[in-house]
Amino acid sequence: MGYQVQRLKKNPFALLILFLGIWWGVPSAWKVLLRSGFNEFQAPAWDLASRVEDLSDYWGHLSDSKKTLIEKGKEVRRVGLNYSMQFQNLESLAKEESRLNRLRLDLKELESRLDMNSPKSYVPIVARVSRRTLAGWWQSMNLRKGRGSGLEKGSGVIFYDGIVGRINSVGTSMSEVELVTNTRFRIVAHFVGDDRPVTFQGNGILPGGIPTGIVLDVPQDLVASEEKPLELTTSELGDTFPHGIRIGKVFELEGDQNGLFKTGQVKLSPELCKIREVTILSPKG
Amino acid sequence: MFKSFLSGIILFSCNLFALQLLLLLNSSFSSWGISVYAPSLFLFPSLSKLSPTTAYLVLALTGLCLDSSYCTPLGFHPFALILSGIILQKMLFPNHSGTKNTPLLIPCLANFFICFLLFLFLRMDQTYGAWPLVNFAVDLFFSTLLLVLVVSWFGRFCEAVLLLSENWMEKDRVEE
Repeated sequence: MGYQVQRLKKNPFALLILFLGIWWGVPSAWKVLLRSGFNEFQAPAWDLASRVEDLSDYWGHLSDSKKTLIEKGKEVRRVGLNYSMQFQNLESLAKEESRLNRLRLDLKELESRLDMNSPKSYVPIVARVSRRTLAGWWQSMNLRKGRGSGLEKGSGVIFYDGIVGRINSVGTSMSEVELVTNTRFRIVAHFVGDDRPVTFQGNGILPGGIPTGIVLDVPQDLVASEEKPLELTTSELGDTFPHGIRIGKVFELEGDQNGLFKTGQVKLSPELCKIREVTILSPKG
Repeated sequence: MFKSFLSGIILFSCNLFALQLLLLLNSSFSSWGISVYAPSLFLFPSLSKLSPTTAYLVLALTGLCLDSSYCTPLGFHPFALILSGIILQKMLFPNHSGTKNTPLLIPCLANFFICFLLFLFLRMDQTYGAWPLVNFAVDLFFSTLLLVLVVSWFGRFCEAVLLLSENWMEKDRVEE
């Protein structure tokens, strides 16, 4: 036995092949456990790095020049004015609210009469991004919140400019989001003003930070151009996102291989590569 | 035995530190669509400062961390790093010692080898999505650039940390 070990030590290629053989034999559940273990092991470092980044941002702003502070002050004043104008319209907004509430009740009644499922509702959970991994083959983001904050695998993730992706794995205090640009990411979508479902699939991030996707199964009568792009939004049919959240714009559509449908490239928000805060849509109930 | 094991733990910590810096860099440059990928950075300090068994153990553990950080199939990086290590030790530098004398071309070639292995692996196994050729070329260019800048610093950094820990242990022994 000892002699064989010595022989193996002298021939490292044989040792490597032995390692490979053992590795393939290891049950995949153990591998998943090992991966999540290593993720959890590294999570505090990612968390710390993002907090240091936030702190350096804060210190950076502390040394802002007077000119920058005046500019920021102007911006705040503009937002304040906008707010006060909205406040003046409070009466009309209250009327609009009661009208919408009446409509909601009507819809509920119709749904119960037709025995339809009521739309899925979500609880929004805001989380900071601790790390972005936008490698050529896989794009993901790590969040500072995990199982402890009520996050679940498969929940949709959005930001102010549209969808971000969905939760791929959840740890104790961290979670990983599979980005919308991943080639594995496929969801049902709709074009604005058209109820027919189409398929959206991620298509990676091009050098220069241009996130892209592909839209498949587009009906033949839809036309997109540089002047009149089509806007793609999420669909409730996918069960991950509510209806109408922005995915991206399509500037050109062409016939697919079998000629039955059209396909096209989807330009996603370039802000996707710079996100620092996201909202997770956790299903209610 | 214990000393070699301790050196292994120290080098593994150094590798982890460098990996976190790389990931931070990637996270900051993400808006440019560039991803720096330099696994060969971790090869040379371990191979030159540790005994073969400890070196491969450190490479395997670093590889697992790389797998979890770069979202590659679990087991790919331990395999690629150990294979590159064996090739380097057995074929290129059978009597090699010290990172100071490593020509800069070798880490770059080793990095290209691992990148190419991953590129082929992802082409064959579509579970993780393919690495588009344009992204591969751009990422490889920037990774090589980074390696050229960082590889000798990292070697010296590991050497300094090991020396510091050895001095510390020696001091403890003398005090006892």
